[in-house]
Amino acid sequence: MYYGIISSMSKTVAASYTARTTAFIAATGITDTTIINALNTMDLSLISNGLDTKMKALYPFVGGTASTHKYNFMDARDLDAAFRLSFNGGWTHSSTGAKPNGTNAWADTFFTPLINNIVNSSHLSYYSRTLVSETKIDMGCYGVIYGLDYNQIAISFGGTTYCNPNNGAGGAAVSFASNSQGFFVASRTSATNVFGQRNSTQITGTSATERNQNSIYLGALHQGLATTYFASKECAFSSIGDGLSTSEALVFNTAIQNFNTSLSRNV
Amino acid sequence: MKLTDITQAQWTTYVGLLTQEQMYSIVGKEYTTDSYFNPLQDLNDNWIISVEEMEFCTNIDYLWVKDLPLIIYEPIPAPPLS
Repeated sequence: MYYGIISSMSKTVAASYTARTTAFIAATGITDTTIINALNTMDLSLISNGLDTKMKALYPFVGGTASTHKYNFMDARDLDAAFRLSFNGGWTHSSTGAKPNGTNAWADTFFTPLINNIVNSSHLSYYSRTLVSETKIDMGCYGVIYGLDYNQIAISFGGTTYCNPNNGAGGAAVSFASNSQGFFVASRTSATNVFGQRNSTQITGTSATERNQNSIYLGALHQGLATTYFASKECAFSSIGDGLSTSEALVFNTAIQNFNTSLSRNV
Repeated sequence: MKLTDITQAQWTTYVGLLTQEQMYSIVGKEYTTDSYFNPLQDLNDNWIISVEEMEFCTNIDYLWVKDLPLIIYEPIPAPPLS
């Protein structure tokens, strides 16, 4: 009888989280309610705007360690097939994100555009917290087998940001002058229509399409057997998936800016 | 020069120098949980690892990397992109 009284007295109302948030916190072991609420709010925003179905890999970089940063929020299994990150070389993990060292650090997403992207539909995103101008490539792959096709974001590469969402050989990058801080998106929505975005500023362009046969790396460029252009910008969010329209990308920007603001790590 | 001789601000300037045998013994191995060694060759064909891999190594099999001599990093230029 005493047990029953105590048990009922100690009951609390459990917080209600999305299935993805629940799975992610189970995988990572994160208990910090600020982080959990930020994840859940982000997921609800993606769902309400129909963006969650376009995300195939989404890395929120929360928890402060490689063991929490490696998980894909969309599929929080500890498997290559779930696009769980594999960190190589010198990374610094903290509550503000994951920072590659610009010397030998990269992370394999195991996401291969040729296999995992829909034809003529792709996006990449990278939230950079670091102010630096360097001739480095922050995420992507580059192929030489099926042609010189790119899928990459090079943020402030000598002061110019280049966005190549599954661009084919000779396909021009969308490029614009920018500093290296903010949330960057590269998206393709057709065989020719592409755009790049920094925060809420968009630059549109046209470029031929091709899907690369190499997996996408974070922190460097996956160039066949080589890994090159090691970058040094701290990443506080990254995603890979289907193409986002210009209006969807603006909504996405708002969701991710709010996410990082709620974690007090926005730039 | 050793790891204990430099400040964090100098981490990007220096790298740890490996012998070829040491390189083979650590390549692809975990230096701490969910993080793997990635030895590279520099401009002078030296095998090197980053200061981060040395500093953050917690794998008891490879704690010797903390004692590697440091050299100034001279990267191989990245190949041009078309």
